[in-house]
Amino acid sequence: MKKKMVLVVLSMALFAIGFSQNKRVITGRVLDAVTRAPLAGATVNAAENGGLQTTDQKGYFSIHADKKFALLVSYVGYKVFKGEFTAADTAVIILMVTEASALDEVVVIGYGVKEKRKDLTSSISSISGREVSELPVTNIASAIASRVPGLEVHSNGYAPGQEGQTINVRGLNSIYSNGTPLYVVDGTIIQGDISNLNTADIASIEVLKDASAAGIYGSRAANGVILISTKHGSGAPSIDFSAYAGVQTPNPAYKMLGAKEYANLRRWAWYNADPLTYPLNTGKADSAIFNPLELQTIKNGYNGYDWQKAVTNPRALEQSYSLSVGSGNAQNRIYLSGNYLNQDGILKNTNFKKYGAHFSIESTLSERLKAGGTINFSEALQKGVDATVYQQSLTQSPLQPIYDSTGHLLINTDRSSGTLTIYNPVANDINTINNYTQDRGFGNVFLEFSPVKNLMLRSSLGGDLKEEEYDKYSGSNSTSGFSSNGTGEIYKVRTTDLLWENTLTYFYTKGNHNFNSLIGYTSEKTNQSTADIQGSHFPTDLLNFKDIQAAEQIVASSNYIPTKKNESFIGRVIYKYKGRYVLNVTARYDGSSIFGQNNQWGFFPSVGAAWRIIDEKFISDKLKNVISDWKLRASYGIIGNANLPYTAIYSQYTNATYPFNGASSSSGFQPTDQVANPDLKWERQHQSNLGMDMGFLNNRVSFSVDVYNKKITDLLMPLSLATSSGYATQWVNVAAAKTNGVDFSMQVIPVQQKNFEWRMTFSWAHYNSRITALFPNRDSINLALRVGQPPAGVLVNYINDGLYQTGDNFTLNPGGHPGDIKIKDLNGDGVINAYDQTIVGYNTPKGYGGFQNYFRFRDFTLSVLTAYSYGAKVFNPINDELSYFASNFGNSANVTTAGGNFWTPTNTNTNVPAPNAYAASLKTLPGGPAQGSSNAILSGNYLRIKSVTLGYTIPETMLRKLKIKSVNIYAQAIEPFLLSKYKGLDPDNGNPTQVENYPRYRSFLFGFKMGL
Amino acid sequence: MKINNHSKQFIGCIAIAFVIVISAAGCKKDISSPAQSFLDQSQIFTDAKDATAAVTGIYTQLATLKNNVYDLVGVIGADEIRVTYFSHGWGDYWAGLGAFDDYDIKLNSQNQMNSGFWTTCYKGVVNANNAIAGLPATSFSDVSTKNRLIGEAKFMRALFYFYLVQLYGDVPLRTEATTASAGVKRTPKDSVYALIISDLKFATTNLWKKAQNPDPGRASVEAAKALLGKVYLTIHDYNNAKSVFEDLMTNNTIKLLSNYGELFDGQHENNNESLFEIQYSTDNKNNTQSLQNLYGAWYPCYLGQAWNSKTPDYGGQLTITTLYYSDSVWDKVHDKRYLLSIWPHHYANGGNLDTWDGGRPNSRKYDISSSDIDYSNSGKNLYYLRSSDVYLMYAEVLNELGQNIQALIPLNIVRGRAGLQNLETVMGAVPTQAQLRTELLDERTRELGAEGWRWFDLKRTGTLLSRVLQYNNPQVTYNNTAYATQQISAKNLVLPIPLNELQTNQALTLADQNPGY
Repeated sequence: MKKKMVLVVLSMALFAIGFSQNKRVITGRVLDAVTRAPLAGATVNAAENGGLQTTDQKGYFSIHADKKFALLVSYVGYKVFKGEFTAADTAVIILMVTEASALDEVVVIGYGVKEKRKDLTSSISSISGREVSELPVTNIASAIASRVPGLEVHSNGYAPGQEGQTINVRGLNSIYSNGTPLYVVDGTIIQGDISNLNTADIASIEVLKDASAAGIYGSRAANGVILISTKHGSGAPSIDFSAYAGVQTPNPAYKMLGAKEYANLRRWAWYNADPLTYPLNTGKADSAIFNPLELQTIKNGYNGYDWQKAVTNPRALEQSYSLSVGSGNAQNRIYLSGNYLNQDGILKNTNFKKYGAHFSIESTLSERLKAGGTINFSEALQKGVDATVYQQSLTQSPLQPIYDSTGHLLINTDRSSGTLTIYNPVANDINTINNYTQDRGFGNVFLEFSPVKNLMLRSSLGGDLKEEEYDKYSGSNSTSGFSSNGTGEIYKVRTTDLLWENTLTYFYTKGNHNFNSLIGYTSEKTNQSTADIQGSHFPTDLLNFKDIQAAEQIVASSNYIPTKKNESFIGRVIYKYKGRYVLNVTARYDGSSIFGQNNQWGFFPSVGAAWRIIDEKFISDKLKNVISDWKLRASYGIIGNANLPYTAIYSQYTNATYPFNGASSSSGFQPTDQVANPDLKWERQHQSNLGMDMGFLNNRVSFSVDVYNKKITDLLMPLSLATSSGYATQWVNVAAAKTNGVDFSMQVIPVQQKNFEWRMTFSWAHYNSRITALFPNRDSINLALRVGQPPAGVLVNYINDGLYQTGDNFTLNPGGHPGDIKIKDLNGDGVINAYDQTIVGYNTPKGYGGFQNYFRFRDFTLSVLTAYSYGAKVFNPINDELSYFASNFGNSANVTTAGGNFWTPTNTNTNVPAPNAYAASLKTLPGGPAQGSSNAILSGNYLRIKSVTLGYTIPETMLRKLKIKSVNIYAQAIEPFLLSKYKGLDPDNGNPTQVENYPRYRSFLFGFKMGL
Repeated sequence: MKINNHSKQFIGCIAIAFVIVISAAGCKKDISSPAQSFLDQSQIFTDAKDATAAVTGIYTQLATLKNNVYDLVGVIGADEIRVTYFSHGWGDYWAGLGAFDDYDIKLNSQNQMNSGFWTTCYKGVVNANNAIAGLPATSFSDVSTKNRLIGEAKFMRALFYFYLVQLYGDVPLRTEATTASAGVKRTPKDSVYALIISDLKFATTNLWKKAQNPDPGRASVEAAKALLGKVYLTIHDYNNAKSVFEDLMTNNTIKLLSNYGELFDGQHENNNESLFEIQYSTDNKNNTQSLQNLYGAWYPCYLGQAWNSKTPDYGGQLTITTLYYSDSVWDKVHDKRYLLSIWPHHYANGGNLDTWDGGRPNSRKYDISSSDIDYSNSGKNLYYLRSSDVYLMYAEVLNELGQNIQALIPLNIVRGRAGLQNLETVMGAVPTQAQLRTELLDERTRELGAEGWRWFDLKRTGTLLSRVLQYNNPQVTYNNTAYATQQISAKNLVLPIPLNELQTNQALTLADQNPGY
């Protein structure tokens, strides 16, 4: 690997030299006068000495000159620089003084159009590439979480390569799930996630939040739109190399009982189940309760085994390298990059590797013709094990040895402890394979033709091709492979998405009038096919899934999803009058094959307006000394939603077989769980937004506030059908919901001096989502799903009323004992049944967001990124399941140290039920421990330091002789602190029952970035 | 605002552009995907081959119902087979399964085994409803084949509803092909039985005879008559039951295999005694059952027995026999069925086990044979109805009609095959009606033990509460007050309606629950 890397560096360096050899070149650099931060994309006009060009990512530009020359440098937000130089000035440094603020920053608003932030009529949040690459994430969603007000990102797992995935933009938009936002990378719509994109290649991210912004993406924008612009080459050739490496250390949330306490627990459990056979404290029962190996451990003075330690690495390494080359002039701009990431998992035998390459080119072929394209290739390899290994290690008996006397893994086939098969979490970690590979390529090519001035015709063809493979194997020496002598599976998914977009844009300025208009037609096709082979009874474990044809039993299946088509006609006009009044009108006519023939098309208009009050004459110059920016924005629009499974309009029949003669099967058909609804139509979201942006004291203090309202009609939802219908769901279009919310963000620069700078940003968001109508004549389906309640995240459960004590009345729990869980008889009818459930909390935060502090002292920087959320409740039954003996992990499972404080006749002041080998004390939980009670509803409040980064930029004067443009080194701690009362792995997760199966960790990294 | 000519032109362009977009809005081009990778219900019943396959799917649903734990419904919670008490501690699912046996607090409307059984049966009903609605319009070259298929669908619908009405009482009666989300109220059980009877009557006239059926696994005239007789018996309509059974025995063939052991050795599937069998196969199409895992034991049945996943009787120690079924009901000396039905001993590490659940005798009727894959993947068929059941039901009908002497004839046919003398010989006199009732219940467990009818037999004969309390009560059986006592009560003559049905069926509310739950 190392050798290869050197070769790549060499060849790229040669390439760069070749580029700049022809003439004598004078290199200059454009920097911020105060921060000395390089300004990328600044316009440098050298007149006859090299014409017009833009600075590169590091602020560099180069010109060809042999005598005196003049430079005119402009950059949005800065005062124009004019100056004269001579050829003797080998290093030209141009310091730019800020004019206003980030308001002049250019924001991408979709379909290749950029606007200055000050002219926006809509609610758009931007994150720069520098901010994105600050966190070493494998998924971009994690990088933008807590930076964008109104964007909620929840982790769906902590295994390497599996980061935040559940994303809500501005509240709960749906009853069944909150589909991911639409990702658009350089104009190409990307299906699902964008984890394969390297953060170092990102120039900026824009999150479109209201109808005026997102409306141009119409039907696809119901869950928000995230536009990603990747880097393009500009200015003189530059090479950037960045790398980081570090260690992750486990951060265990669940502490389990030690050997002696555990033995005590088991004895109590069997005593409580059957006191005559298993008397306490006599030692007589031990031989019946424990297996011989466990007895040996007891005999050896409870010298137990730490299973959690046995399946986790005390330290796991991670490393990442990116190399990019960029170059651009008036004719051609190219950008090439490659990256590699390797992250070992805290859970043994887990790992994530990613290889990626990114390439973009743009060429101006003639005055009228421009062409270009972007390609991104990647391969991600996620190596995993049986998903339950971590929970197994928590619950495994600490008395049970891991290895036998010869040092081999102990394979326990003794069934007396209630385990049905062999059970050794370490063996399950070693002998199971759960791998995921994703090969993906996406990109686009475009042609821009400008027949007359200000008119541009653009056609672009984009594609996203994805091959995924899941390889699984459970060896004959693992719990799940034991009884069937090895089970394996190969599951492949192939997804293709092709997008053809044609737009016509026209710019027009006359006097005070400025028009920017666009019309277009887009067409998209999506295909997916899957193939699955499952085998069992393998002749050997050595070849595992790779030799699946050797399995005795093989079951194959495949699925081919019909082509999903979207066609759209779009139109947009942005009109500005005197630069103070902005009007944005957007319309979109969308067709989708997901609906039945009569309802495929929908029309979705939106309108937005902005008023730059600050530019009005009545704002005096004196006032401008205090108020430096003031803008009002308003928008209203309708956005369509077609987030449906492709089967929703069908009553699908699926294959079934039956061996009529007891031997060979005849093929048959069975209906699936879903009933067709051919009348499904577009869901319509009526969104309105009112926003205000203000800046004070030359924008040292600025804030942005947006108030919004979303009314969803014809809400798409999968209706749970009566189980007696024989079906499970039917998609319907009858309900309505609304969301009100506020997004707030603020930036303060308390200190801004040459040697010391302090910047603070803060974001906060709040929303309230409610169902406003369900069915004609029916406003409630169950306790959770009813008018007046949020469409999702309503936690319904029984009220935990402590434990039964000696002498209590047991009418509610016939046959019960003291120490059993007590459920409150809410309606007092003398029976615990469904009437006793109630709403015990909401899984929606009252407020959430983040804040960041950035300090710079001379060449040192310190950045602290913090995220917070409050007011949400999290349903985490896993904590109770791990604390209650014999809940769901079998009746020899270990429990948490909290679970060690269980009820006994002398320890009655506890809420942990008496352990019972026959689980008798848990039977009062009507839905079982997995549904739990109000005891499993935990506070989801948290404050987390997401990262602390200490950086040092080596002064340029030291680097000049080495011909290095820039070097930055940094040390970073990722998620070092979490302040939360939550019991479990992480309060910030999408679904604890799925997530709490991988240990959490902290990372400490060291990295450097170098520019040549 | 002043607008000059250029602006006017421009605004004109924009207006035209919007007109294009909006007039495009007028077009309703159909962009449906023509290529389909699956069949929609509307396409199934247009073609004889596909419609036939849809009937096959109903059988698949029955095989799904019986291939795992739902098979225990009707078996446990009676007086034959118990759920081991320690299995309650394996996790909530198992505690819920155990509640079907000891009727404790876990037998509630959220019990997963209960809702699973309900849903699986109703899926069978909808499969059948769709076929019954769709088949008449499907063109077949041969009308008798088409009528046979409708008959098969009706037979299957009756079979599923027969489970539901016995287990839950009044149930939503759905007979149409499902089209919408409308709710259906609980229908009085008499109406449910009326549908079952009319379906089975249709089946008896339209199904083919066993010998003529293209496949042995299809419902036949014999199966329909036997089931119809059982339904009449269940609703205590003895006269109709008598005439149906007599019709079956006169106009069709009813036979017993001479060797009881051949019924369960896995080598004599679809034999002469079998009337309707649920078919399984090891042909790599996911058509196996995993019942040995439910009925099998942790410990070898004899010293030195090979003990692995391919050994007959190796299993999960989930169920064991009651003392009644393992010992007291048998004439262990003469009854050939005893050791073909029960594994009486289990050995751990060379010693006999006598701890209460771990070493108990268990049922061996589901033991795999050499042609099976392993203890949870067996191709062995299950009996739904066989001839000896008909003989015993016929005897019961005659006894209830006061013809206890005539009842001895079919009873003694079954006893004779098992190696037992005629009952009147053993008893020394012709039994009274009351004596014969008890004898018939005992004979049914000896002949049909663990075959899925016991709970229904006890409910039908009004003996469920008394027999369960007498024979399936660990506290009494083991004389240990620590064990939870059997909690069966009158409310348990029906199961709770699953909570999700009450919540999703728009015609029902929580108040529509069976009393006591």
